Amino acid sequence: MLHNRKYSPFIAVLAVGSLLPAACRKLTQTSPASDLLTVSRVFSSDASAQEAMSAYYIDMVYFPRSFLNGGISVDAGLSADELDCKIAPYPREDSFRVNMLTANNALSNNLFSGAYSLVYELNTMLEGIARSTGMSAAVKSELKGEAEFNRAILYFYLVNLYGRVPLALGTNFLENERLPRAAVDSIYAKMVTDLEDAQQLLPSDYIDAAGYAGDRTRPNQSAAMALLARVWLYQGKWASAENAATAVINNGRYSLVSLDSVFLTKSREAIWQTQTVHGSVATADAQAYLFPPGKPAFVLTADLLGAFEAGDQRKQHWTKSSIIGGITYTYPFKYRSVSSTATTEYETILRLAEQYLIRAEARAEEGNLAGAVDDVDSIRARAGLPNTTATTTAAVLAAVAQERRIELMTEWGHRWLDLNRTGQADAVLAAEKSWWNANDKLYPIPEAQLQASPGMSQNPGYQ
Amino acid sequence: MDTDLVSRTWYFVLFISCYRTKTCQPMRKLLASMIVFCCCQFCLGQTGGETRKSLSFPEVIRLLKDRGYDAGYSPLLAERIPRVQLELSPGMTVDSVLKAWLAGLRVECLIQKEQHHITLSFEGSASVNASIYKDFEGDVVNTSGDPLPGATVTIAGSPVSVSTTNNGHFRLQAKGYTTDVVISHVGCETKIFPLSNKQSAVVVLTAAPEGLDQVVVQAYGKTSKRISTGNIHVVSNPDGFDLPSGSLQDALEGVVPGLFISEPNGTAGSAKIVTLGGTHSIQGNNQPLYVVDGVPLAADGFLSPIGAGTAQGPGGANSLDFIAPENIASIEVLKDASATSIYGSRASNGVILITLKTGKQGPMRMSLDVNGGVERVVHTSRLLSTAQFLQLRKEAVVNDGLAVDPGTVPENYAPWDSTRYSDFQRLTTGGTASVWNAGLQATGGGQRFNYLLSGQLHRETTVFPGATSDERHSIYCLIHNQSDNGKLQFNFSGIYGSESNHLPVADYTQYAFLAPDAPAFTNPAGQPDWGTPPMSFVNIPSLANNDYTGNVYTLFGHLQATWRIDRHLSFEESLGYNGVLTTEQSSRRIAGQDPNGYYVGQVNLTHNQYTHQLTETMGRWIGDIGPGRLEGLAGFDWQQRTTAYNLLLSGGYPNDVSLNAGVGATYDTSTSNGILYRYTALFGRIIYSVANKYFLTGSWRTDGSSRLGDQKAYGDFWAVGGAWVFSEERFFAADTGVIGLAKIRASYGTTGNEPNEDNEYMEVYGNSFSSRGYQGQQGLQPLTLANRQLSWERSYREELGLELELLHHRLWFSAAYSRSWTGDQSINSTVGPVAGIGKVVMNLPGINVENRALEIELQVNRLSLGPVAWISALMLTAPRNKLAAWPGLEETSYSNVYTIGHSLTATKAFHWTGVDPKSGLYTFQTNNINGLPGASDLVASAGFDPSYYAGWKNSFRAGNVQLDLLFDYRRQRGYNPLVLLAQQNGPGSQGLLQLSNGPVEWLDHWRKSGDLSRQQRVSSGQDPVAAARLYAYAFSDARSIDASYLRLRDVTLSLWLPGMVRRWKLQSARIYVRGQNLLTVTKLPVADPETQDPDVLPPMRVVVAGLHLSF
Repeated sequence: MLHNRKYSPFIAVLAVGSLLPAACRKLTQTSPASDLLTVSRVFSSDASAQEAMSAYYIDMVYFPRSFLNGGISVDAGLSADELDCKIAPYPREDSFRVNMLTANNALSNNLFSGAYSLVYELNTMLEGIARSTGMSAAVKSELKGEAEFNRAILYFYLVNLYGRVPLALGTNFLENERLPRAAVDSIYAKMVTDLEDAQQLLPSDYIDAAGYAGDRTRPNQSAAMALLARVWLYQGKWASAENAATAVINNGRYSLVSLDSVFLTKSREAIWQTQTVHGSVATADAQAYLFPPGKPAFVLTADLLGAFEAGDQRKQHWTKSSIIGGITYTYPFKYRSVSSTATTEYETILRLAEQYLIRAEARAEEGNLAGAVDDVDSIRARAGLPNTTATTTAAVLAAVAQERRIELMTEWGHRWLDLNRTGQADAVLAAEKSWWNANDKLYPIPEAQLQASPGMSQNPGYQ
Repeated sequence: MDTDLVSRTWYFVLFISCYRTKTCQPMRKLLASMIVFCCCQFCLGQTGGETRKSLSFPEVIRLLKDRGYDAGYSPLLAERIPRVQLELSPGMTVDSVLKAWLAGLRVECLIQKEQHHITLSFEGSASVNASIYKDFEGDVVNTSGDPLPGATVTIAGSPVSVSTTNNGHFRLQAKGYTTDVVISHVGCETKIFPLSNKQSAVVVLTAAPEGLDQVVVQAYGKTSKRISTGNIHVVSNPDGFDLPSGSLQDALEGVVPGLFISEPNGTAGSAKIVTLGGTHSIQGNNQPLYVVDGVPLAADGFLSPIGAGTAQGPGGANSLDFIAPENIASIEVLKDASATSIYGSRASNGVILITLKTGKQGPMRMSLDVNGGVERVVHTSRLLSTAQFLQLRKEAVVNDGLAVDPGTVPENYAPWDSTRYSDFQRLTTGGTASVWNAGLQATGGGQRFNYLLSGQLHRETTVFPGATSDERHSIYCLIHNQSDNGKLQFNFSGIYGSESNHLPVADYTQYAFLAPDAPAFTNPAGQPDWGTPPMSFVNIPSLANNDYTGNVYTLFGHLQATWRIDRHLSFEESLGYNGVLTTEQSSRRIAGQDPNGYYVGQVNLTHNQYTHQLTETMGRWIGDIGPGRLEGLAGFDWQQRTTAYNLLLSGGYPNDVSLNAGVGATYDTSTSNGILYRYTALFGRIIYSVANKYFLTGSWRTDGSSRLGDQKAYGDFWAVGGAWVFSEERFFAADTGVIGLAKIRASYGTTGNEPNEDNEYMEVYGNSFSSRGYQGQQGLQPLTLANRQLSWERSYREELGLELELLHHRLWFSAAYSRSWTGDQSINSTVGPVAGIGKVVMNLPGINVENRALEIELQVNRLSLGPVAWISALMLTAPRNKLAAWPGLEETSYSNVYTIGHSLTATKAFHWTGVDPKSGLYTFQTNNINGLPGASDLVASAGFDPSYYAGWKNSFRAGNVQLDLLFDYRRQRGYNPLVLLAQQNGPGSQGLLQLSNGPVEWLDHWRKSGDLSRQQRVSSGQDPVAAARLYAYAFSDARSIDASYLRLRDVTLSLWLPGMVRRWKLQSARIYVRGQNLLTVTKLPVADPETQDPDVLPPMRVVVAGLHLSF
C-alpha cells in the first residue's frame, strides 16, 4: 500500500526529514551565552585576542603567593636556607621549611595546579591563534611569542620544582590529565624551541598600552633571550648561555642601577616585571614580608645573614629589621612599598644582574676566568664591595655562587634551584637542616594528579 | 442491586413526602410520585372516533406518546395505579386526556404548564410535588436492543446521576435542569443529548469505548487505555479545576501514582518540587517535562528563578502557575518508556501533558465561577514562654560553670524586661490571608467552527505583615475551524497571562524565634526600635519597608493545521510559541534596616525574557495491514528557546526618598546575559493492533540539542511495548461479570535527560576577575574545559502492568511495577590538575541510579450506600531509590555524600546514639576516646525518601449535595527541625543571636544525672565539650526522622440549586465550600511535615466559599 503513488509526498517528507538533522548541525548549533565567548570568537579579532593575553597576566599575578607571583620566592626560599617562618603561625608554609611536604599539602598542590592552569590558558591561546583567521599577522606573532615565552617559564619552574612533569601542550583535558611524566631533557628541549620561537616573534621594544609608557610588564625579545640564557645555563650549554646573556647585556636598553632603584617600575635593570592587578596588594613580595606591619611572617635565616660580606651595601639596602619584644626580626626589604594605590614597584622576574651572573658562570666553566671575574665584579661594585680575589676556576665559580646567593636572595627560588642544579643541595642543606633527606630536593606530585592518571609515578620519598 | 438502588431511592423520596405532608395514604404517595414529562408541546393529532376505555397507567402514557409526548415513570408506579375509565375522542388535547384521566382517579390535581413540562400537582402541599416531580425514566439498550445494566445517566453540570438497573432502566430527578443528559456506559460511546430535544426515553448506545477504551491523550495523538501499552494516568477536568491556590499541581497532588509533589514553601505562588517515578539524576534536572498542547512549557529552571530572594525562597516562583487551571481540559501523566520515549532526550523524568480545553458544540454557553476565602498557616509550633526561655539560659550558665554576671553574661537579657512576652509567631505569620478566584467562560459553535473564551482572576494575600499579595490574570481563547468536507482543519489556542507579585524580601517565619522578652518595636518616642548592639533584635514591622514586586507577562500560542488526504493519510503542522517576560524590583530601604548595621538603601532590578518557538511537521497513516490495524506516524520537530536577562543593582542611596526616585546611588552594577537553545528531532511511532486484544507499539526518536557536546550531538531513543486484553480471549468465560475486562501490558525502552546547563560542553571565555585590568586592559579568560563528548543521561525503564475491571464495572484496579536505571550521569567531576581547570561536567561511566516502584490504583466507580452514592479512588505508590553503582566513588569528593546501595538522599552522617544519662551529652558511635566522631565514623543515614505514599479520594452524593474528600498519606523520613534549630542556635545558647528562642520540645533536655532525655544538657555555647557534641549532632543521623503524615488535603461540599436554575433559567447553579489542608496528623515536631523547615512558611490552610453558575 505504501508504494502507492499518492503516498510519495509522505515518503519524500520522511526521506528529507531523516536527512535533516544529520545534514544541518546548524539546527542545534548555538553560540554560547552572551556573556561568554567561544575560543574561535575570542581569537577572531585582535582586540579580543589581546584581552585573552591580558587575562593571562591577570590570572598570573592576581593572587599573591601564587606560582608566578611570589609563591615560588617564599616557598622555595623556605625549602632552601633563605627564609624562616618559625615565628609565624603558618604551619602549611612551615612544611616547606622543614622539608616535610606531602602529596596532600595544599600550598604545594596549589603551586602545581596553578601552574598548569596557566599552561592551559596559554595552550588554548596558542590553539586559538593558530586557527584564527581574523587576527592580523602582527598581533598573531606578538601574542604567539608571548604565549610561548610564558609557557617556557612555567615549565622551567615546574621541571625544577617537581622534576619530570607531564608536558601538556594541548587543551583536551581527557588527554592532558592522563599525560605521562615527560623526561626532563624533553621538557627543556620544548622550552628552548618555545623561547627561540618567541625570540623571533616578540618585538624588541616593550609593548605598552597608553598610560603605561616605559613599563616593562610584557616580555620582549630580550626577555626571551634572558630566559634562554638561564635555560642554557641550567643545561650546561655554556657557550649558548654566554651568547644569550651577552646579547641582553649589550642590548643597550638595560643597565645596572642603584640598589634602591632595582625593583622600581620602569627600572632600567628590569628585563621583565609584572604589574599588580589586585586592589589591595602592591607587590606579592611586599605582601609576604611587610604586611601586616609589625612582626614579619618570614625572616631571613641566620645562615643567609651570615653570608653577607662585611660592607655589602645589599645588607643595608635589601634587608630590614624590626625589634619586637627584644627579638630582632630581619626580613627582605627589596620591595618596600605596601601601598596598593600609589604603585612605585613592580614584581621583577628577570633582571640584568642575573644575566651578568649567568655569563660569569658560563665564562668560568668555559675557562674564561677574566671575563667571569669582570662580570662578578660588576655586581660586587654595585653592592659597594671590592673586586673579587678569586683566580682559580673553582674559586671563581664559588664567587659566582656567592653573588647569586646574595644578589638574588629570596627572588624566584634562585637559591633552591641553584643548590639543586649544582648538586650541592645535600651537602649544604644537610649541614643546616638536621632533617634533610636527599629526596627533599623535589616537591611531591599532588595526590589529585596521581588519582587522575593511574600510571603516574610519585617522586621518590613521597610514596 | 440496581433494582435496590432505584427502589431505595424511591422509598427515600416517599418517606420525605410523608414526612412533609404528614399524611400516609398510600394512594397519595403513589400519585404524588408520578411525573409526566413532556418535551414538545403541540396539539394532539386526530386519532379516530370517540370511545370509552378502561386504561392502565402505562396505557395512558402510551396514549400521550402517540400524541408526540414523552413520559417517564417507574414500573412500580404502573403496577400501583389503578385502571381508570376514560372517554376518548379524536382531537383531544393532552390536557384534556390528562384531566379526564385524573378525574377518573378521583384525586385533586393542578396541571401546570411550564415551557416543556407539564407538571401534575396532586392534592397536598406544593413542596411534595416539587421534590418528586423530577423523575425522568428511561431504558438504555445496546444496538441489538438488549438492556445495558450499569450505564451512568447524568445531568451535565449537576450531581444528578444514576446507574441503570439490571434491565437497563434508569430513573433520574431531572426537574429544574435544561442542560444535557449524558449517558455513558463502559464499552459504549457516550451519548449526550439536550433535555429539550428528547424524543424517546429509550437510549441506544453503540458499542465502542468502554473503560479500557476511554480516550486518553498521549504524545502526538490520542489513544485509549485498551490500546495503550504505556503507563498513562489521566486527570480530567470537565468542570475546570477551581482550585483556591490557582496552581495546577494542586490538582495532581495525592492523585497520581508515581507523581510526588511537595511544597517546600507555603508562600503564595512559590515553586513546588515535582518528581515523577523517582529521582533519576544525581546532579541534573529531575523535573518532568511539561508539554502544553504540544509546546514544552517554561518550567522552573528554564528561567533563572524569578522570585528567588523573596519569601518564595530559593526555588522562586512556580512557572506552572502561569497556566490557569481553569483552562485545562485534562492532564496526562506519562510514566513508562512506551509512553515517554518519543520525547527522547528530555523524557527521563517523565512527561506531563497538559491539554487545554476545546470548544463545546452547540448554542453559546457561559459559566461563571467565583470563590473567595481565607488562609492561615497550617501548623504552628509551640515556642517557649519568656520564663521558660530565661530558665533555659540560666540553666546553661550554671551547667557551664560560668559566673552569672548580668553585665557580661547576658543570660537573662539584663537590659530587657524579663516579664515581657511577645508572641512572635503571631506577629510574623499569624495573619489571615485572603484568596479570591473568579472565572468566566463562554463556548459554543458548530462542528465546523467552534470557540471557547475564558478569563480568570486569582488574588491571594499572605499571612505576613505588610501589604503583600500575589495576583494573576489570564485570558484564554480557542478557535476551531474546519472545511466543509472536514479535510482541512485548524485549531488555535492562546493564553495571555499576567502576574503581579508583591512579597516581602524575606520569609518572616524565621523571626518567630526572636527572644520572647525582646522589647516593643516602637520606643516611647514613637520611633522604630531595633535595640542597641549587642542587644539588637529584628524590628518586624519595619521589615515591611523592604519590598519586592515581580511582574510576569506570559503569552502562549499554538496553531495546529491538519490536512487529511484520505481516510488513511493525514499531515499536521504545529506552530507553537511561549513567551515569558518578567520584571522584578526588590528594594532594601533604610527604614527596613537596623540603623546600627548596614545603613544604605539598595535596589535590585531584573528584567528577564524567555521565548520558546516550536515547529512540528507530522504525517500519520492509519489502515489495515495483514490481520490487524496499523497506526503510524512520523514527524520532524525543531525548537528554539532564548533566555535573556538584565540585572541592575544600585545602592548607597542616602535616604528612602531618593531611593524611590532612583537618584543618588553611589554604586551600580549591571549584568546582562542571553542564552540561545536549539533542539531538533525526528520521531516516529507504530501501533499495531489485532482483534482489539493484541497491541504492539514501537516508538523511536533521534534528537539533539545545543546542550549536547558537538561530538555527541544526536542520540537515538526507542521503546517497545505490548498489551494483551486477555479478557477478550475465548478461554475467558464471558460475562461472568466478576472480571469485565482484563489487560496486561509490558514495555521497555530508553529515554534521556539533557545536561542541566547551556554551554556546558563548550570551552568558553568570560571576563576575568580583576577590575583593574593588566595595563588597563580587561581580560577574557577561559572558564571551562571543553567536553565535546558531553551527552545526555540515559535511562532504561521496564514496566509491567495489569488492569482489571471488576464486578460489572464497579471496580477498576490497576497495578504496575517498574524499574529504571539511569546511567551516563553527568557529574561535575574533578579532573587532574594538569588538565588546567579543576572541574568539568562529564558523563561518568558506570554510575547507575536505580528506581523501582510499585503503583496500585483502585477505583470504586459507583456504590450506593442507602441514598448516598459513593465514588472512591485509592492510589498507592511504593518507590525505592538506590545508587546501584558508582565505580571509584571512594576516590571522589562525593564519597562523603553518597553511598552505593543506598538512596541518593542517604547522605553520610555520624550515628547518633542518644543522650548519655550520666554526662548529659549527646553520644555517637565512634572509637574515639573523647566520644567525638570523626570522618571515619560516617555511615549512611536513613535518607529522606518516602517509603510509600497514598492518596484516597472520595465523593459522596445525595440529591443535590455532594461531599468530596481527598486524603493524602505519606510514610517518609524528613529533616529533623530540632536539629535545624540547634544548628541555628543551640538550646540555652548565650550567643547574641537574635533568633534564639526554641520550641517547647527543648524542655525535654538532660538536667541531672540519670535523666533520660532527647536533648543534651543546655549550654551557653561557652562549654567547648557541649558545643562539639552539638556540632556533631547537627551532622548526625538524628537529622533524619519520621516525617510521615496524614493530611486531609481537600474537602469540598457542594450544593446544587435547582430552584435558582428554574427561576433564573440557568443551566446549573452550585454553591460550594472548600477547604484545603484542614487537618494534618504527624509526629514531626515543630515544623510542617511537608516543608520540614521551621524557618520556612508552612503550607496554608485554606477555606473558600464559591458559586458556580452555567448559563
